[in-house]
Amino acid sequence: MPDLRNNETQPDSGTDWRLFEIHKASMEAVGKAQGRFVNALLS
Amino acid sequence: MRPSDMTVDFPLVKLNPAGLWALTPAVLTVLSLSLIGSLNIMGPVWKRLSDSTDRLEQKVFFTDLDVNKNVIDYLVYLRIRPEGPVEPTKAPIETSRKWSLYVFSYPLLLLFSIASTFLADYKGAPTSFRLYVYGCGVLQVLFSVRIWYRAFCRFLGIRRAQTEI
Repeated sequence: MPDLRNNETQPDSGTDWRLFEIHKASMEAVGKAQGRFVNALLS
Repeated sequence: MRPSDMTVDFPLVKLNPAGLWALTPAVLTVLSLSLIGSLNIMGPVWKRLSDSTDRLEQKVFFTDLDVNKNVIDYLVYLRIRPEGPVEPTKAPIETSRKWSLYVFSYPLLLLFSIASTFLADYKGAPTSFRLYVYGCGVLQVLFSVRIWYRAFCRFLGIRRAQTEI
């Protein structure tokens, strides 16, 4: 498994998909929180 | 807004508007600042996700990945024109938001919160209450400037390098 902190290492496709899943989960978490704040402000 | 003598009954507690209006600035400030923080953090989060899909050579739209849509997200998709493609035939380019009033959807919600906060003030209110109300209002204005500024830049299609990640 390549060290993701090392910019000189090219991650393989499996690592790219893993990173994609992490970033997607991060975006979902922010979107969920954002929805709650909007609903609370409007209610 | 001067509180009236009317009371509001909830299942467990009875509140009068004086209590509600006294709480309004604090509640709106916390919610607004939280929303602003979530809007700010969405920039780097979307950028990293977008970079990931580029590396995977996958073309995805924002709507594919933003699965937690709220009422504003749905409202901006209202359309009057009956004809048109079910979905965009190609990924929208970044300048697609130029001249689009939709970029002001979140800033307008923040403006609504700021206005409601200042409405908690009323004629003859004690100085301490006014300090509290205007303190909350100023905090919201201060942190909303970035959101409004970026919305105007998107609307006019200017300063993209400085405002878009």
